[in-house]
Amino acid sequence: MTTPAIDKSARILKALLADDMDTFRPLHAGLDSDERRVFAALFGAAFYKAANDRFGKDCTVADVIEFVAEARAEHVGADTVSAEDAERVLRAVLGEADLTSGMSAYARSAAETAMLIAIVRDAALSADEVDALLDVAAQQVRSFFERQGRR
Amino acid sequence: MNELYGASDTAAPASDTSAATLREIGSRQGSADTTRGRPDAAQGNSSGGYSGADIEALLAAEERLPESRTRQDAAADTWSDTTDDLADSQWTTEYDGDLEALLATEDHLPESRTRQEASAATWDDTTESGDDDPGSFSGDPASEYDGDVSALIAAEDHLPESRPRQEAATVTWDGGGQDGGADSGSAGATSGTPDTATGPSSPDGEGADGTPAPYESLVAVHASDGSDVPVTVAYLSPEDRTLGDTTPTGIGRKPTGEEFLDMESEGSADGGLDRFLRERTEEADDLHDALGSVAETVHDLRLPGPPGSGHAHEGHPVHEPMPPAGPGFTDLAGSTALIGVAVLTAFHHWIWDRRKGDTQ
Repeated sequence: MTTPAIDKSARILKALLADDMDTFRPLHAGLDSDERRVFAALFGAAFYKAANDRFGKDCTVADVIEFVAEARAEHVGADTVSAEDAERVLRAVLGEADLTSGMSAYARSAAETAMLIAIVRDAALSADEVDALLDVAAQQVRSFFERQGRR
Repeated sequence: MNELYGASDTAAPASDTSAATLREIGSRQGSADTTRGRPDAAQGNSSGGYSGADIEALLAAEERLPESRTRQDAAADTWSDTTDDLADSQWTTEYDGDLEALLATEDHLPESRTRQEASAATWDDTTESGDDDPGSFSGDPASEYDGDVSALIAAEDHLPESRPRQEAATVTWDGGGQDGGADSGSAGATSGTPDTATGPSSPDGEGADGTPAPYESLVAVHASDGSDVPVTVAYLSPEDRTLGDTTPTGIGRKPTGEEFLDMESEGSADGGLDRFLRERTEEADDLHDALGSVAETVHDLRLPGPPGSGHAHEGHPVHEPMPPAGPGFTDLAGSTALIGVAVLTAFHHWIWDRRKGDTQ
């Protein structure tokens, strides 16, 4: 997969996490089909890493529930995502993958987006820390597409 | 034995040199013609044409001549079910030579033949019980074979195993097989084993130990509906097995490149991530729409954003319209009216206090 597409996706995701809608809107609207796939992979990698960094391997369901309650109240709004969907996507990425099997792709994507924003805001990540997160995600996406390309 | 003597008798004049040699040897060894306890028919031979030395020489030559025939016959007898026990064989009744030497020699002769036959018999599914099949001895190996029995049994321990493993491989690749095994009665090759009766290709390049070389064969397996389902069965050499596979040969199949990559990705620490990313890319359009919607919603809420964003915590989207004001009532008018009422009330109290003071 081309590096420009990954870089463009990183800029879009950074604008989203920084709430820079003036940058986010045109870039996000201009994604073509292939770039959407790259952006989806980058978003997934960033969410995967952010969630695992936030909760770790020893987290409990109570930790997730507590975080979701706080995130809906303070970071993303209660109407943006339901608590159930938010808890499902977080627990799924932490190892319980089957929890999202009954969710629609749209609901799952919306919940993941809200939880990624909430994690970044809850951790009060700086711009450099967001860049570091996206750099790791971009490297994982490159490796992922390289493995996919060999098949 | 007498026939042999006769043969020797007739053969001796054919070669004067040999006869002379025999006489010379006999003269050197003397006339001890009863050595080794042989019943010397020559002693009672009325012809008296042979001396003790000649007989001895003939016996010495005879030890070699019948031996070659013994090897052939012994090998043939080994693979014949009709072969009687050695004690009943013609050799014990007709040959009174060096029996121990003969038996000792015979112990070694059939062995190479036996291993070859054992290997072939292992792949021969149609071999009748007790017929050339080392795995179907009738309980007492010594009654059927008096050679290197221990070696044969040791070989037998390994040889028949390849068949069940191939059948296991057949079952593995047969998703619809009801009976779960290859039908040995189906036409052509069965279970991927070369069948000498049905005549499929036998593995080329058989190893020194009798193990067949790697090959693949198409076998027919009965499905649940009775139809034959072609199944490819692969027999692989130990070199083709997967890493870490310590099981004997014939049970594993070397994975393809794609399968190896799958195993690598699923088994690695990033296996879950790969699966997660694969799902995300497959739902890229849904993610694109959902992410745009959530981004706009969260932005409009103007909840505490990331550091430096400067958003205030207002608690509701800014695009949401303000609560409608009542008719003819605005915040400014209300505030003015309240202020006016307050001012009037305060002035009224001040006037009231002044009047009260004047009257006192």
